[in-house]
Amino acid sequence: MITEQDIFNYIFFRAKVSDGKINEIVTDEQYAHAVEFYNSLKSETERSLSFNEKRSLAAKIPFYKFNGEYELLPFSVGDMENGKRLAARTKNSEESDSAISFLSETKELLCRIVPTPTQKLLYCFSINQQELKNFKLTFHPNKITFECKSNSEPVIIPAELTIEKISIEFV
Amino acid sequence: MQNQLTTELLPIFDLLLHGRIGQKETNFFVEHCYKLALGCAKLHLNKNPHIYYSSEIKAADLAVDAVADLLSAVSGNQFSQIVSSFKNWQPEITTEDEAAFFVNSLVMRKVNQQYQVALSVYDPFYAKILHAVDHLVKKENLVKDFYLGGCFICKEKIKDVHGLFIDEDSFASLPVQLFKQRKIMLQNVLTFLEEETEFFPAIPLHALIQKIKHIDLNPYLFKEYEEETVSFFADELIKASLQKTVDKLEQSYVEKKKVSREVAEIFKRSFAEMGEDLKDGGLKPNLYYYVEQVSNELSKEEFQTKYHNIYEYLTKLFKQNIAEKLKQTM
Repeated sequence: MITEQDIFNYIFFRAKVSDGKINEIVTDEQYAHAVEFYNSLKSETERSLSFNEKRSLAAKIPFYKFNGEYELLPFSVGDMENGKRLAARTKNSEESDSAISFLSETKELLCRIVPTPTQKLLYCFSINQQELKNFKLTFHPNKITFECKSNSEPVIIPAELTIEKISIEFV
Repeated sequence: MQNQLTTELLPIFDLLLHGRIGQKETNFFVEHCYKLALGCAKLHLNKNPHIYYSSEIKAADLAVDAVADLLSAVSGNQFSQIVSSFKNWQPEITTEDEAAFFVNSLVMRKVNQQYQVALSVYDPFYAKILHAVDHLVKKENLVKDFYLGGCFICKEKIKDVHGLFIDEDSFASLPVQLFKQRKIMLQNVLTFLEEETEFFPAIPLHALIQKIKHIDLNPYLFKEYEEETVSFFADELIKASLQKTVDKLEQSYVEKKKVSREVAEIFKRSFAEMGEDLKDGGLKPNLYYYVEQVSNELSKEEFQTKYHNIYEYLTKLFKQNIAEKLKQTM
């Protein structure tokens, strides 16, 4: 007798299923769909959630605290796999052409540093244009940090600061 | 062997039962439930790609709603539903695999509930038929149970799996005669599955509702039907709801010159098309479809830029009007 839990265990806890049952599940075609179903669930449980998925959960479940940390590395627009350009902001007269962008591995968070003659302005974006709230920026290698309540305004950073990597931590 | 979940659930239940769960475990638990819910939601949507939740992003919305519902606070305790189910679960949960299967089962049920909520919002007839079918399940002493995230009607709880569960396409092609006598319809179908097919004797609930919609709605919509006193059939219900929607179009848009008389006529004819779809299976996600069915005078571009919001609002109103009329018949 094979139960749904046997098939569940076959995928998630194989040591719990007897050899006889394993043989039955593997050889009898009637269980193929169930095995496929739980295999796809297992794949889901093994992956990491994206920034946007965590934000969606936090928006609906108050006691789920979204406190992930993301690393952003420099990239140029030519790096984008699908050829899409990320238009961070329209350039104004103060800005030089040496703006640098940093992108998270999941391609969901973008920081753009725009140098002006006296300082650098750092803009943070989420790729789906949602507002980012309560986050800490850390600039590497110096490990200088800035606490931010929102990404609605740019962060003003010293012009001489060298930045190789940015961490964003949501608190 | 790399088959174990990376973090164990049983210790989390121990913390939950003693009110000592921390933020890290809470986050893990929420994310684990969400991942299961998403996998299940994708399965539902793959089976019914035409419906409201049509893309992967929408599957994620469905999954978030399901988990949020599972973890909605009762008397200030967000885990009360889970703790209560855990305590009452039979057989008692003592091992990690049992705890994992328990969580899986709870999440599957919640996804199914949210899916039904979504379908009810999307399709006003769905809730009404579901209500009628639930009534029949009780009356015929049958049970509803879950298998692989789907809800089935059976003679008793599903203990072991012998035979394939009928898929939606095969169910749709079952003989119409089985569904003709409402009072014994469920028994008829179960007996047919058991005796005439190789399938496991279980009726997939969603497929059943779709089948009913495509046969004849009226016996499932109106209690009075069999007493032959029915005065308000599905077609009349659609017609009345359509008229109310058209009145709104006239008063709020045509008279105020927000929509021209010519465009309003196109809208009216397209709503009639829409009414047929609502009765038969559900709306198509692309609203312009209904416009182009009745006229080629309004381009897609013009529709999107000038009229889409108005049309979308009127569509919503049309469905609300139908839902209200249906409530009056319950």
